[in-house]
Amino acid sequence: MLGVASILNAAVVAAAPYRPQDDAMILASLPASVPRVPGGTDRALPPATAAEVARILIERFRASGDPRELGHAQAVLGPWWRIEDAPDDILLIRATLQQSQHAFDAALADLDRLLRRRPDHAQAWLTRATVLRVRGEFEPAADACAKLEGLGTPFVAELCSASVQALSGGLSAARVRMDRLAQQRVRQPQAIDAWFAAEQLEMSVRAGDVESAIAQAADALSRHPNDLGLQAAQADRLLDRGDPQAVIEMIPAETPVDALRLRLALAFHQAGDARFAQLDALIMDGFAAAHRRGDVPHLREEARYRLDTGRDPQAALALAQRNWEIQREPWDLRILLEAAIAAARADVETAAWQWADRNGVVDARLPARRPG
Amino acid sequence: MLFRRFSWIKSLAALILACIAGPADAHRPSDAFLDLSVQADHVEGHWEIALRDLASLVVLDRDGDHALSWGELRAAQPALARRLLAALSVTAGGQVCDLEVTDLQINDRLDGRYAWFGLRAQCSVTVTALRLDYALLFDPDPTHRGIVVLHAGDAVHAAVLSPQHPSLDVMLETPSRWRSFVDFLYEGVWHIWIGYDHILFLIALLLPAVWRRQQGHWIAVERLAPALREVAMVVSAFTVAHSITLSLAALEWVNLPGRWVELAIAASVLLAALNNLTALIGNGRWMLAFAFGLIHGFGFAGVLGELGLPQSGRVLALLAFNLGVELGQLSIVVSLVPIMFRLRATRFYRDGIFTLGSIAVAAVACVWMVQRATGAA
Repeated sequence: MLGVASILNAAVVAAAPYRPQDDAMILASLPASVPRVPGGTDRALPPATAAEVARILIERFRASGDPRELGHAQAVLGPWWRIEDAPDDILLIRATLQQSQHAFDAALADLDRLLRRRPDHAQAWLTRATVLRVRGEFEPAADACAKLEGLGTPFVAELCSASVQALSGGLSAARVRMDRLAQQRVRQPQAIDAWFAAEQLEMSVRAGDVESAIAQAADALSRHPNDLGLQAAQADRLLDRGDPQAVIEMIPAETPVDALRLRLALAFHQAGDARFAQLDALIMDGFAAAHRRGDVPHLREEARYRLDTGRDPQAALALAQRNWEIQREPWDLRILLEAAIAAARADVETAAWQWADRNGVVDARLPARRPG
Repeated sequence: MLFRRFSWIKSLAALILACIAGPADAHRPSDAFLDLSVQADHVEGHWEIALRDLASLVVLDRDGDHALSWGELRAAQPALARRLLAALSVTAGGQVCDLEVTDLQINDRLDGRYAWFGLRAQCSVTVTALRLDYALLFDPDPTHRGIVVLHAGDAVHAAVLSPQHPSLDVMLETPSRWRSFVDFLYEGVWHIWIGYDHILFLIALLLPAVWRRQQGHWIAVERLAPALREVAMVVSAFTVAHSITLSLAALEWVNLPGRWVELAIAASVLLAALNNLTALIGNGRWMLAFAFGLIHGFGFAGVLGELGLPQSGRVLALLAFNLGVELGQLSIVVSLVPIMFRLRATRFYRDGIFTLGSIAVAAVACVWMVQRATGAA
């Protein structure tokens, strides 16, 4: 069984403990302030307050990439974590947290519960659209976006709808809608602008419009230099272009963010850089830790990483297939196809292409379609 | 109302970006590593906890510079120890063991620095069943996991503890009665096979079994039956005799000095061989087998003493060892007797095997006697 063996491996990985000689030796830097969650019986905050604290923690996760923040958020929601009929605010934030943990069924169940109570809840519709879209359920996702019209701001409703359309047979039409939206983006809050920028860039890349992509990426990164999602996407583009040096220059060697570290390692690998070995050990150890815990959010990354570092394609395919059962974004399709090709599994490849054709997925990053 | 609408858009867009902008993070959430070894009535081990997780338990950064120094960590050790002891309980035989934090060091793991706490749990009984109840960090972070490795003898138990499964129950493997029986049976057989003095004594006594003494001469028996009867008498007498002394010695009722026993065993081999050459005792060799069998029994007891009889089931282990000796002995007899019977009337058997063989056995026994008398190897 994976269980015992991987746990024992974890025990072996550690080196010998030591006692520093100097009291002044700095061991680690600590986060600015770790929110102290009230423990025991006094922990039950009012639902609205708890939801707000959890939301802040999820935002911190987004900014730092540190999954412990999600754990702290779950702790804040603890009193309601297993209560189906939780208050509205709690249901929404619990769904968001479950979405971050890739527990999509649970997230949708919470959202449906909330929307039965509050059919005009714009946030819930938007989150529902997002979850469905990640799962590759484009029609219901488009329906959820349509519900936003007249509820939220027109800009958000249009952005939601265009981004789903772009994935389901309407990439060109969606890009025209995005161009129209671009006129209004300056009036949007920072976070909405970053979302718009990411969607617009992603569409250009999928359409194979390299020129627009380069300009949009430069613009997006200058407006949102600390956005981890934009940085990761930029690194992906550079790797696809065969420019690992640019990735090595862009990502700090000591980055604590797993998503960036993985891309840095792929850049080292692509460039034949000797620093690959050490980073590789750390990343593989991280995957082992995730398997030990039974976590799922790493499946896509692990499949991709194993594939791109020349490891056993059968193992990569198994991971890609498990991932495909959970989420179906363009990257998930790409990894599945690449793994199927590497593992010489024409049946999996054909089935994946059939799904893409049925949904009208267009993506210049997908591997070339082979005859037969 | 306007403010509310603005605020939800802003916060939600941030959340969405976390999920859909580019591939998701390869998560590395909070794990702590608990490594324990069971040693009779206590449990020892260590607990490795990420430094930043400790910050969720107590105030670490006393000077507020967002950097944790070794001095700050050492200063926090008593407070940390209290939190750790409150978060882990070790139970043996229904009694909570007395747990203490014995040491604090640092360990650099691949994913960062961890505090390394030495642990010791003193239990009131010998640990045969162990229970761990784990609650570290579950309060501030329900996604925390306790990665437990428990060593007990040769067995290793591993578990991932979570708020849903915060406990580990382990029945430690005590050697089963049957296992112990088989082990001692095997030792008995093995000892007879590698114990040349016992084998030579027995063979020397058995060599004439296919003959009978008649008017001062050895005559080959006509039928197998009398030969088998002679073999059975010698082997039974030897077995009964050494069983008696083996039991007396193993149960510590009689004790003889090992060196004298070994010397007497060598002497018994010499006498058995000489008896063949001189025919001092013709048809009553079973008496010789019995008398010296008593000595050999003390020799077996010496081996058994080195193996160590288990505290529980001493008699069963003794029985198993003795049975093993008999089985080993029987296997030798069963393979030898048919050959002896077949060759009994030949000149080869008379001169080559019986006479020269007995002389050779006598010579070997003489060497042993000198060695054992002088204490040489």
